[in-house]
Amino acid sequence: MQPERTIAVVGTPNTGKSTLFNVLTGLQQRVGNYPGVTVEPLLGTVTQDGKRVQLIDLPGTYSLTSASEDERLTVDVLRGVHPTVPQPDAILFVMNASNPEKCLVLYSQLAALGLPILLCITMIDTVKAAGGGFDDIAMYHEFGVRILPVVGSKGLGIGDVKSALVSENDARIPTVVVAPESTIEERFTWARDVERRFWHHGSTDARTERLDRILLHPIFGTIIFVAVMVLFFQSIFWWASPLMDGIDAAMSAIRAGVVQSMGDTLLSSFVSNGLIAGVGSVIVFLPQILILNVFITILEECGYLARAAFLVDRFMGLFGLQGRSFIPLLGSFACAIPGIMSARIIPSYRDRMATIMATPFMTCSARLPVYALLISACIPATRLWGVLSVQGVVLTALYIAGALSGLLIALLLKRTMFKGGVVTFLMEFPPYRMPSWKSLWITVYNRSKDFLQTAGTVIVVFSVILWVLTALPRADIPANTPPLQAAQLQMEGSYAATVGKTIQPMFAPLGFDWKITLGVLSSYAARETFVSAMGQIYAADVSESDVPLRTVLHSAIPLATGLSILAFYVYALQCVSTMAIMKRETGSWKWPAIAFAMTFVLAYTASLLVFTIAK
Amino acid sequence: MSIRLEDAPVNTPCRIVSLEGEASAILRVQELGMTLGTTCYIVRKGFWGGPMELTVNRTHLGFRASGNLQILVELLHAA
Repeated sequence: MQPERTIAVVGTPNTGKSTLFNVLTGLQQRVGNYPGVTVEPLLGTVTQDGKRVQLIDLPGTYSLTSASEDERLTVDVLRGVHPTVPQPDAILFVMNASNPEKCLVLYSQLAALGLPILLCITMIDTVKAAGGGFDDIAMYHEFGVRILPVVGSKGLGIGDVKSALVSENDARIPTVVVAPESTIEERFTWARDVERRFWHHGSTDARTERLDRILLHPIFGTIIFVAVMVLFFQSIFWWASPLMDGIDAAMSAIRAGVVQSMGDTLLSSFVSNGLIAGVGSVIVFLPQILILNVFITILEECGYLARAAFLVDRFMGLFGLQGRSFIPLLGSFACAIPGIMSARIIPSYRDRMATIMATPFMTCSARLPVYALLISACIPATRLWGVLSVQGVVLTALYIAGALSGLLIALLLKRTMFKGGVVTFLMEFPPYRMPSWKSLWITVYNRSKDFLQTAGTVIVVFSVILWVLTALPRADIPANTPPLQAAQLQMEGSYAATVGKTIQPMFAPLGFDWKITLGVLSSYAARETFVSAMGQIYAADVSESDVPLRTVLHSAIPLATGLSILAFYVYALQCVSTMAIMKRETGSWKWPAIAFAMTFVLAYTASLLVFTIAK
Repeated sequence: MSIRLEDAPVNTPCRIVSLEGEASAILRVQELGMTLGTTCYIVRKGFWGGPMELTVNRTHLGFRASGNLQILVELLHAA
């Protein structure tokens, strides 16, 4: 059965629009608590009384004169000029009862489009709790559309909304409340008049005011922000480690089980060293992805992320960026892909492009296993001044080097290719609210699924290709040769060795031998492939926490070479998915190509410098 | 007498009397309610030249002016 009609869900940011969409459709999507979080039109179906309609959740916008990329999408769809999304048959307009003024301005523009409208008023519980209210009957007579009060998060009034959505007569073409050619001042004058006549606001949001007094305080707010960021990054290591060790052990056990049951055959090698090694190298990152996304989602949904952007605006200004750039850059510490996509919230084209070009320098979770493996193999496990772990200091330095380099690249781009001053920072602060656990679960689930699907596919394919290159042609190895030596003999005669040895002279100045060269090359599909590639190439276990691999690498890779590889990974853009998303967001292959070339030159130069100094 | 918004004292109601600069920047502040004649006030100023916290009717905003936008206001009276 095909949906009967398509209805667009439209509203200003922070009206509870996405929560309502979730409740109505049951579809899984992200709910954010800062302007512009919904960056793609999501589709869902509402079924009621045997009838169905299709809903499109469009990004929040303040007006039909769009400023940012995501708002332009909404405007194009509503005007019927979007190339892929058809114009809807009707609009479900969502407005926030606790702050109706801006919603009414947008409504005055929508009313002139000539599309039937249903007007849904959310957060009525907040207004009532504050002792306020509104006259929905008077509004109905003035606007000529059906008014539907709801509390999306509690499901109150949802049945009425569903019935109205599937009914052909409930959505009506509204009265044109303001002349279409009106200025924005005239629209606000009308909106304020409506609010004065139909609304009674109770007490102000004392909780948000109290929290902002502390969290936006120049000194206390900054201290709390730094503490939150420290907790954010520490959580990646503290909380993920036990889970990662568990996954690692499970993968090793499965591989051992495969070898034991299938014997030492070519098929067993393919399943164990190709398929399971590839899958394992992806799944082992999952705890970090989960923790990072839980953290970022909580920060978004409770309303803190908009405040964080406010607090870092001055710092970002040193690099020619604005506070809004902080949101995509922070997201890029989990993965550059959502980071680049969320750069759509930046209205300035120049700032957006500079931010996108800086995101690959942020240390994403895919770099972490590479760093962990190389640091544990090459950096002594000693303490600095008897307190700080040298390995920990090196890891922190790598994070700082990446972030600082990204910001300096942004500054360079803002002074050259995207020349322009620092633009005005303007961001609405949503009220603080408790994160919705359902929304948190949906977000983390979707992001984890995306990670496994996108990165997993690439990594598994490349792991299989690498297995073919390392396992063929089969070397003629005497029967009594010890397993490790047999694996090494096989590797020396393989296609992989031929490829590595051919390209190695290019990387020789960096201290890379042919095996490292091959590992680095294989990780150009996805960085984390380096770990499994090292495992395959050195014929030892794949995981970075596996002692034999660390031991093998410790003796195979001198300190200078280890540092040189680490420097290379700080800068190199080794992620096919990131480049593909860059192309999509910038509309051209030019920018990913520039980013690739720029990062390769930086990686090679940094690696050469480090190797030359360290050796 | 009109002054720049960022020069207005904290917690003092101000009326917006002029918006100058790039059309897109003017539109954005207008969309958030900062239209001519609107009353707003600074809740607190930013640290080290950072953005200020601003209240316009029931909307809380983070705002930092720059070269592409200038907002002039008139002070109404001390809070």
